[in-house]
Amino acid sequence: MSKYIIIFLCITILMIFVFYVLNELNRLPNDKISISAYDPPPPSEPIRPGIGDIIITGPERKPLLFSIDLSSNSDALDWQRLMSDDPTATITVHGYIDENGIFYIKNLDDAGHTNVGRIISKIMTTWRYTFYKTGDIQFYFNLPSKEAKLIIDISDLKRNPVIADYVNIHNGMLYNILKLSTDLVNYGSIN
Amino acid sequence: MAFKKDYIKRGLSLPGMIDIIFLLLIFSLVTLSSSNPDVSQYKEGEQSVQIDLPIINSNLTEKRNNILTTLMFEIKFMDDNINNPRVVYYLLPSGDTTTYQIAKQKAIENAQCDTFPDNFLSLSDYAFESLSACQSIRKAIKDYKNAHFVEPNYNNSVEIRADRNLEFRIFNYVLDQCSAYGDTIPRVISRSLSY
Amino acid sequence: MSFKQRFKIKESIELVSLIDMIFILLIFFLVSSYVIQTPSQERGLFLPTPKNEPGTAQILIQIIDSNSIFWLDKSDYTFIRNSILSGLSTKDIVSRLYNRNSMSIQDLDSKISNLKNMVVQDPEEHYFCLIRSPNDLACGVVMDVISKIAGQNNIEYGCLGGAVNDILNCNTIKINPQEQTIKIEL
Repeated sequence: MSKYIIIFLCITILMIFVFYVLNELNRLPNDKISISAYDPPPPSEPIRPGIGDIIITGPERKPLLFSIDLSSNSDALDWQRLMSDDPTATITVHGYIDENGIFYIKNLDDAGHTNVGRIISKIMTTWRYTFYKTGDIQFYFNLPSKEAKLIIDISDLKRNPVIADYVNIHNGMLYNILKLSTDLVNYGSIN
Repeated sequence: MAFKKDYIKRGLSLPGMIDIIFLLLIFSLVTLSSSNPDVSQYKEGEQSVQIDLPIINSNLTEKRNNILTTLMFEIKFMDDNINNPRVVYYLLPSGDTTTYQIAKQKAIENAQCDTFPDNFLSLSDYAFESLSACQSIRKAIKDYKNAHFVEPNYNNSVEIRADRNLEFRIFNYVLDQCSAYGDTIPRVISRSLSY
Repeated sequence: MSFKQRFKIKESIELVSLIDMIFILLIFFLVSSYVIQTPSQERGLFLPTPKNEPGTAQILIQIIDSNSIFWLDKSDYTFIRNSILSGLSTKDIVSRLYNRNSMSIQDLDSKISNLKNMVVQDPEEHYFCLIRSPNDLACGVVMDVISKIAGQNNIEYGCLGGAVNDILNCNTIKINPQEQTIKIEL
């Protein structure tokens, strides 16, 4: 009995082998199909070696972006809520960004609009920036304005001394406010 | 007295069958895994099927179906003997179907080759560049560039197929000559047999 | 009458199966050794052509001979700066650098794997390796060094001819403190 089982197993292995070979043969292309040549992806501009003197530099770095650090727990200000609470409010926030990117409010002038001032103060103290710049920063919230609802003064911001001079720093999004069109935000001095 | 006849019991020889099965299995595994179908021998059919192969983002490139696509310098030792002088063959593609073998045959028939002298390593830069082989390399690159590389293009390239034991000076010379045309020939493709 | 039955046990080795197995092994090793000897498919390496300006790189790999290389990168800035501050001549500084940074081609593997790890950890960094090779060296050695680097994103390379003596006999070695760059004036 065991002998027949062994014979059956051998025949099964043989059949599996035969089907495997047939499958491999079918994978080869037949005469009617022409396979297009494999084109490598279009090459990009190569960095080319220079001759003569050799200058060893640090690795290439992309410019740094100074902005609100969205990876931290910075709360967002809801503009629509401010407008619905007090559409005539004008709030001036004198702030300071330290070397770690933490935003502090030095002085908040709410001109009598205490409710909106309180909301803005509570939200803005949670803001964190990337640590590439430090110094004073001022926000002027002008809710009744039609063209410049928010003015930001960044003239007193300086680059963080730990960042090497040759690294470029660009300014990104410096506020975390929802539902405020970027057209209504200006950068300049607050008089 | 009754004599019993001994019947010789015949049956399937199991060890033999197992041997044959294993033999066939090993043979097929080894040969099918090592086979590389040569696509160039297949004729073009009336309808061609476009097969999109995966794109590999790499500085390495595999040999494409044996078709020559640009000027190639094949530099090797004469008769494949490392003690013999170095020979450079100039292989030029004509159309889209020139294979490496056809181009090499043409180069041999038309004597599109040159030999470097044995003392080429000890020559000064000026003397080395004055060699007929170097002048031919320079001319080949210039003629091919004038005919095919009209504008600077990152796709423009020249190929070198060199023996691994070939000295770097010849290789470097080809790089230098291509660099004379700046962005028109920004790269050279070096092919060598990998072991 | 009792019949003594003599049983002669014929002892023999099963030769047939043994011969079959020997042939199988023989054929297998013949075929596989043939396959190993056959050169694998050619591969091409893209080599950018040089351009006529000082070579700016993040890493310099100077091939000394078929067994050893000299590696220089920005991490040597502090060493060079301290050597300059201690009043050493250019020749002495370069000689010390050479003794410090020469390594065998086997050690180059570990250097390059460190480099690849750095690239993986910080994908923003891009490195360009300038590979200089003596003219009398077999180009297979150069291609082997390039192959170790090639195929990695954010690491590019270029090669050109040049001996280690160009560096050992360089005119000056300068540093730029602001940019922390090292300039070797040949």
